[in-house]
Amino acid sequence: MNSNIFLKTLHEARRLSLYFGIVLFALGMYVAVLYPDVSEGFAGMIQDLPEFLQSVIGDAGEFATPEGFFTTQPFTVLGPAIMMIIAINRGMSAIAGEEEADTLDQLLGNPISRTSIIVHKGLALIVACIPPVLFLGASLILGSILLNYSFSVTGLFHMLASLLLLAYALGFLALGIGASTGSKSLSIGIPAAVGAYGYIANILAPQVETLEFTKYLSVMHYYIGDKPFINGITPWHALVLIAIAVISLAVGIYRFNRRDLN
Amino acid sequence: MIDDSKGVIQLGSLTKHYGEVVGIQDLSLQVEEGEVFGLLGPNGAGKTTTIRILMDFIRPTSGYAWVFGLIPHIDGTEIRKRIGYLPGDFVTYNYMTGGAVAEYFTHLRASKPLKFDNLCDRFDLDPTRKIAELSKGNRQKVGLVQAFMNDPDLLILDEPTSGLDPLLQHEFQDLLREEKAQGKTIFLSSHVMSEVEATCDRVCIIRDGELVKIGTIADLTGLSLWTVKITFADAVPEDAFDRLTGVTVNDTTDNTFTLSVGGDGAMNSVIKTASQHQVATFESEHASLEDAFLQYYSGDED
Repeated sequence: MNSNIFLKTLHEARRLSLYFGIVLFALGMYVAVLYPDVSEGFAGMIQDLPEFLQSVIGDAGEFATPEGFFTTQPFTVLGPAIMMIIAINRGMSAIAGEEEADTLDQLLGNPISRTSIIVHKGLALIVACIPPVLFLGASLILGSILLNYSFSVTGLFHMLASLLLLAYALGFLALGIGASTGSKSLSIGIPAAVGAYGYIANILAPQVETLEFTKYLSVMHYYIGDKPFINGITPWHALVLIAIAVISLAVGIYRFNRRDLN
Repeated sequence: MIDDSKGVIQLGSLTKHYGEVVGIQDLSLQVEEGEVFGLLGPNGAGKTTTIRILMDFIRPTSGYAWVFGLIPHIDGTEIRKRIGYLPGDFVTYNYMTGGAVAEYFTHLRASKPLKFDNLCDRFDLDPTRKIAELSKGNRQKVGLVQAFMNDPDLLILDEPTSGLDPLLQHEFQDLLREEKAQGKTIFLSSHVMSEVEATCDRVCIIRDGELVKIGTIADLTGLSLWTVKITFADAVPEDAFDRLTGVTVNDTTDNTFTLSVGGDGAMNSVIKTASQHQVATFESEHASLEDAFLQYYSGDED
């Protein structure tokens, strides 16, 4: 674990990944077990709810299929929230975390470049987000097998890939801000605000016609707006999320190489 | 691989401002291969700023710094391959053991911890204990061990003995002498005069980011500063020593004059002036670096 920055950083993320992986697994099992009942019982009930609440919970029609139901839960609220927490935490700790803990000087006292530190830490962020997403996917598959129903595994794969890209977008945003400023609070605060805005815009935009354009400013729209579980991932939506990650990383590397360490 | 004309370290009019605040101003000095060089100054004088520029943690506002003839900002990785570094406030990963920290940094250096076991023995450090469990002094030992373990050509040590007990400070001084005997170059900062006096070949005193004095210990103490106390049997005008170059009158009471005497010919002029009167007692004491430092620091050296 101590042979390079990547492995050490990954080692440091193991508990976070594992614990949240377990939470996601439990959440997935809960949702998967709930599905057969919901598909029969709740669909009608939700149809009677006001439109606003429907858009919070999900369209009634969606509850008829596992793909639609899973899109609503766990992939609309808790799934992305937990993945955002993991990714932003890892992105923040990469540079700003070390800098505020005063360990960055020590690390950079070794013959390594600032760019290589970011690259190692970025790779660790990418890898650390994968197990929790796999836990979530595995729980849904396991639940469906136990309760004897089936859904599109390809759809699940698209959904999980989109979830990962959302995590990377915000995680690398956190990493980039941390590398640019050295501030933990900015590194957490800005991506968290972007994520929170994403939720709000995603709920409000469909309700108010004049605000509909705001969905394009929401990361949630690119993550789940086209329902990847049902329709497959929309390439340009994926590209927007990737672009956020790549641009954040590039700006982070550029600024980190040019600024004074705190 | 060292360009001799540039020494191991060369600073030229090095200046670092933090906004309005001056970190260092126009600092120029050169450290030669095999030399133990001390940067002496009170807290906030600019010692750490200088070291952080050498390590490429911060960039100069103007002027230049060369290490091994290379520019830290451009060839930092190349430079740091040959440097063992101890930060002023050594903080490291709390959850790791001292040995794991050493292992990690050794991997990052693609090096071998040649002196690790030996150093742990010398400093009585248990490398199996977690950093979080260690006292400040023991953490400092981890810092020292990791700085020296890979046998670097240049050691850059910011306040190396902070937190060490006197016994270990002594051990550290022995270690420095051994490293020097092996031809290593050592650049250390300190505000502990006795430490610098005991270990350094040359010293640079800085104050408010500016160079005050640079030279060998002998330059700074022996040649330039004596404390002289003269008691006269007869009445002597109070301003008798005021106009002498290199002489500062510290105190005049009851025909007893206490003087700081420094610079070429200063002692001679004191004796000549004194001999014009009836001298009762004449005491002179070699100033320690501490006296010199306080003198230079208070700005009375001229």
